[in-house]
Amino acid sequence: MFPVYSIPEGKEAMVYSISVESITKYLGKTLAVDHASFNVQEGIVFGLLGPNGAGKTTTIRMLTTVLKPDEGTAKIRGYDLVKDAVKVREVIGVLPEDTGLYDRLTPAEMLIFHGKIRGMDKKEILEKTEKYLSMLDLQANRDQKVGTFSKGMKQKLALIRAVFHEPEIIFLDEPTVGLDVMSARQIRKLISEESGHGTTVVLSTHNMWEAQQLCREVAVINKGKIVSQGTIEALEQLTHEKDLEDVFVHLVRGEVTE
Amino acid sequence: MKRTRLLERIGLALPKSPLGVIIWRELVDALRDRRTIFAAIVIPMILIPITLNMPLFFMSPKQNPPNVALVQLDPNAGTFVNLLNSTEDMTIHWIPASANTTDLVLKNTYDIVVLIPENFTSLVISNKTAILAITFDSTNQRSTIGLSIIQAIQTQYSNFIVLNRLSTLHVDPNLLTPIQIKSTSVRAITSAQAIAGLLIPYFIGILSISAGASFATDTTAGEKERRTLEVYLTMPVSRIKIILGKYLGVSALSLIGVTCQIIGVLLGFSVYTSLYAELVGQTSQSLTLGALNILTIAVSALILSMTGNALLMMVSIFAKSFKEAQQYSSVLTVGLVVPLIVVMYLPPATLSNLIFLPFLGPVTLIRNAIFNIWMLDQLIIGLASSVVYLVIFIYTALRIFSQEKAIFRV
Repeated sequence: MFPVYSIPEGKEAMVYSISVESITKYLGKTLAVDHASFNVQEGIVFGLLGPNGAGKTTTIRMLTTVLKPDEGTAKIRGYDLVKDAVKVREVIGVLPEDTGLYDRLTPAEMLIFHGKIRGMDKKEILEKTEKYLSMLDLQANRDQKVGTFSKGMKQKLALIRAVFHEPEIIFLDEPTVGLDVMSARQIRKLISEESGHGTTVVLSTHNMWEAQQLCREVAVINKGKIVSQGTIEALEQLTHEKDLEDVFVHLVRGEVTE
Repeated sequence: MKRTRLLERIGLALPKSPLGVIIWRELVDALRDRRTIFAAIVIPMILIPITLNMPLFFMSPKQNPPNVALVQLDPNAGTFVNLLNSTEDMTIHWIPASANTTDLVLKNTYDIVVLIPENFTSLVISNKTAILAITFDSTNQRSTIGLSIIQAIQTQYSNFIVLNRLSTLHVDPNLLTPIQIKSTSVRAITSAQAIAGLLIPYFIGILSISAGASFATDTTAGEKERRTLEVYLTMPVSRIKIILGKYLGVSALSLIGVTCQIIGVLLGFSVYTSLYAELVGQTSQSLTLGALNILTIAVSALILSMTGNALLMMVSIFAKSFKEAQQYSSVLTVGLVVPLIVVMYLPPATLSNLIFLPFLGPVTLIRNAIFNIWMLDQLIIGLASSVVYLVIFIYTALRIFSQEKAIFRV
């Protein structure tokens, strides 16, 4: 068994954007997340890596207040996940597994809806709409219904929605899965830029190359359990593997090279 | 493009209240859906007048006179034949005696065939009973209407002959009518009101409930299925505001629907009453409703619609897919037809005692408004009880919406 990252001695929990303590979730009778604990430092891109069905989406759904943990607790920017759910929602932006976009709305209308719900003013909404739609090459589609968009366009718009209100933490569940090279690259670029501005990013992915490019730290989850957490370099040293993909395979299989 | 930008401007101009923004999104989303436009505007504005009037149009002898074939074997029956021929409600065609009358009616060549026997006049003159042989099709509406027109002419002609016979015998005609009825209704209503009171509550009731059904299921089960609800749950808005916003959005759409229904019903009835008068041979009376009557009908229809929407939202939130929600919605809509039928047949005093029941109250109030029956206590009980049911349904919807197991049912 690999060591699970723990809060270094002398550091307060609040230095972390996210502190997760032993959260557990059953989906029906299936144990989807099993006493998972990890911490995410402020301002980094944190990768939540795991094979399909490992519990990544359920973990993100709990951390974004969509699901309540059956056991355990977590703090997001110091706010309790259950007791301060609305406060938690104020500081997060989410790109879920399914984009969750309204097909009959235009991108501009979608962002107005999102901005207004988040308490943004008219000027800010308009400026950011122009900025992000231009940045991700969607300006020409501004007045087109989202239902007519390609998968890549929808994914880009959903990412804009996640960062639109400048949240302190962004949760991205498989943001580039199934996308063409150009769209995936644009999305990765925006993730890097957001992180560069001090935003904490939690990235759920099973694309190891992408995680290697973007993440400073990762946690590997398998069968609902966090099997290890740390910087990519630390995990490579621990497993004596050369890149993240090998580290991942190693950790998921539970094999340790001495 | 211009319309799109207008909707944007409205959205941007809204205050920062999540409730208003949720309602705006619901409206933009629903109004872009062709099903919504069809259910809320097209059906009430076009289908109500058509469905209301089409049967009467086909039944009205003036619009659609029956084709009557006449086999006249008695050349002396001119008076009776002239009577038959004088009405504009039938078209008479003389056919030879050799024609197969049954075939002609079965094949719809004619709606009805009348045979005047050779001895018709001689039997009448000799104070005996002449037989008119009529062949008709009881499954053909125009044929049965033709029969009733001919029966009316036969009765008129028979009465004339009876009077002549009695006069020849120096007998007072009153001898034949020992008793007459003089009826007085405690409520004076026109025949137009009588028909409207029977049909309008049913039409408005069923449309008020069904028009909101597609909105209510789409905004709950539809959002679940399209996975847009999950994003809602990550926004800094309480679940009660989400449910209320959605419900008010659906209600705003119902308001549009109800307005269109009232227009459709009033348009439809302006034609219906004259067609009905033609059918029953009365003078045409138009349905005139005062502003207060129309307002009462509109408010009752809106409350009915809002209560129905709340109930449908409640079950749709539980449904895991749009299809499942539609199944629930169909069962409920059929169930809700019961109070509409009850109102058509129960006596007013019984309805007054049942006015607190869900859905029955507003339908009864619509009926009362058409009949000009004004009872303040009933108005208050009918509307207030509906609001109570509405609140119960919304509260239950909220309880279900707060249940993770219901939201993420698989």
